[in-house]
Amino acid sequence: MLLKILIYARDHQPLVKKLFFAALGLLVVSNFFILPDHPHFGVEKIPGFWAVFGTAVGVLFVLFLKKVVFPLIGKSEDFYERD
Amino acid sequence: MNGIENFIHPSLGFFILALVMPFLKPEGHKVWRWLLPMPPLVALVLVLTMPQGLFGGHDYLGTRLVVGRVDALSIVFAHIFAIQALLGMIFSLHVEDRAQHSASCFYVGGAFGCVFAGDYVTLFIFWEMMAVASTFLVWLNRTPKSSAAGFRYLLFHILGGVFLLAGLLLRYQALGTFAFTPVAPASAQMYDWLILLGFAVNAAVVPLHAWLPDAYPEATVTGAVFMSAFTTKTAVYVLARGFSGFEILGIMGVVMTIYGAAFATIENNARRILAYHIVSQVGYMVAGIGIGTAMTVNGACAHAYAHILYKGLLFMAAGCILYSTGTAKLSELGGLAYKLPWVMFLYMVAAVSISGWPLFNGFISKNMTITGAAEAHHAWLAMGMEIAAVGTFLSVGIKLPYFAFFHGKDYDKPVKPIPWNMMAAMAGAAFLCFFIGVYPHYLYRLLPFEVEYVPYTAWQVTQSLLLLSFTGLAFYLMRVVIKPKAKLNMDFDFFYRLSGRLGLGFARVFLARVDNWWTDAYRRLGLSGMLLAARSSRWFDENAIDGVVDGTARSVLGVGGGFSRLETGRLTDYIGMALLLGAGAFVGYYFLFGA
Repeated sequence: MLLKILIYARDHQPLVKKLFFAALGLLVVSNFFILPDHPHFGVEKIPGFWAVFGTAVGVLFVLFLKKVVFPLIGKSEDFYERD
Repeated sequence: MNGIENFIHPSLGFFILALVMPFLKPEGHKVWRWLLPMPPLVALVLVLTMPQGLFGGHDYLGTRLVVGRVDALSIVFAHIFAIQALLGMIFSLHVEDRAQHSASCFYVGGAFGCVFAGDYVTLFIFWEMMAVASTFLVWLNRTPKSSAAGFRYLLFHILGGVFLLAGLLLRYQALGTFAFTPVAPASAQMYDWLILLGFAVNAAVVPLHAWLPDAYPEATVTGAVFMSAFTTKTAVYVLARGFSGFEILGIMGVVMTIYGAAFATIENNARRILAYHIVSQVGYMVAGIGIGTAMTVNGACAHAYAHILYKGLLFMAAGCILYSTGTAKLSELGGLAYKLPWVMFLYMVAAVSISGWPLFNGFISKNMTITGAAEAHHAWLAMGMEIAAVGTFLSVGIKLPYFAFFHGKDYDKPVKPIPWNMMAAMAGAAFLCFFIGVYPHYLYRLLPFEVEYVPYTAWQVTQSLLLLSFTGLAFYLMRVVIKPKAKLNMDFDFFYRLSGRLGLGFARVFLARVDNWWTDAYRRLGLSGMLLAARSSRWFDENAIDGVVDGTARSVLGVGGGFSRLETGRLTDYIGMALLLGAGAFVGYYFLFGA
């Protein structure tokens, strides 16, 4: 059962992609109607703030770590075994 | 103070089973394995029926030691410890190695001992027992890597234990008591900070955290499940008990949340990714305790409860991958979803729980801490926790499952079938993650303070869905950049290893030279004198004593032979025997003098 769903999803990737982007769009639209009564941060009152926050933080997080930090601290797997 | 008759210590069942385990026959595994779930079941019943109060007190060195302090704070931790011990034991039913079961019983028993300890001496004894027993869960993986990691783990925990011991002795000198009571942040003394440092080692507070991602990925498949639950959460408990409101913890906690998620983002080994996420998630708890309002301390306890369940489940699922494929490296995996669909499904339940998706337990606990931080006017700390939430879903919620279960072509190497008991334990944990997510009152009623927080508001749900879904978009954009590489990432364990090497170098160069010199001097001066003495005593022996002592000699030989079997010359064996003796002494002492 579960396996059938997984295989169906794998064979219909464009559909999965469309559903994902539709969900993202729906969430942003709903954000115009649902806003906090007592915002923790002032910017939360702007619709779409958390969407931008999630995307921007996620992208910058990966870029900084993989492009700046990883080249500095990434060593070969036997780094500590060598003398 | 009540006697022992109202209170039976939940750790007793574990210690008894741990001591019985070596006497069971290996071939009887199919039968004796059913003993494993017994101590957790007994502990669960005991915790559910326990009256509140102080129990099992006795006088020692003019101070009162208490093995049973039962109140709301200790009960919430004991409650989840019992449940997780049960899930862990079911998960390890198929393991035939009795030593592993013995070690996990000592470990869990030690955790219960810490949670109910009313004074620092009792706490210290159980604290050290946990350190040693959990070391065995690493060693018993029986690989060269796990031996080395186990020694590093043990040494670092001994260091933490020494901080704790120094703190509690200095505190005794100053205050004349071992009582384990809260410290007011404004009046904290040197000894309080030493104790805090000892606790911080076990809570994996950055930069004292590196033992955790170093050792946990080398532990046995089942051992890692136990370790993910008890060491750090016992530390969270003692911090909540003693150091609530310490502002430094608020800041360090948020540093931990981001640091752990960051290292997880560039890590390749699935179990190490999960280990870094312990650092990250415990950060939320440490931050909540540091901020120290009723809501954030509640949030810390709720998050500890929820975290134990989903983190155990994550380690179970990663353990399944390791068990069935022989590797936990993402760069060697991919497409496993079509071989192990239910492992993937159960992993995803834990992944959405840790990420804080609505309907799962992380949502009702993590947001409580974040809201509490914001309401206590720590907007920057709350913002830091939101950043860490993005990093969490990115690395453990999408990256790990994507590269293990989906990315690339279908996994075509042989896959070992997963025993039913492992799947059963995972299903149980997944059910609880979901159940608490939809019925938060179950958890909230256990918390130490009254709960005023409402998790399911239209805004909270929308905010979480927005944040996490668009984190998904970020992953989609970065899916090529984030691909895991087979590399080792340097962390603070670099410095531990460096100090170890310096110590070894000192021994090699300086101590070895002194030793050589001494041996030389001894051979020249001491030996000739000794030979003379030996010659004369031999004469005495042959002529006088032999006749009398013959019988005794033979029996001494017999006893010596028995001991020589125990003297294997391996440090790990000696530490294990010391633990057995210590725990045996505790159980005996408890029964004889407990009341």
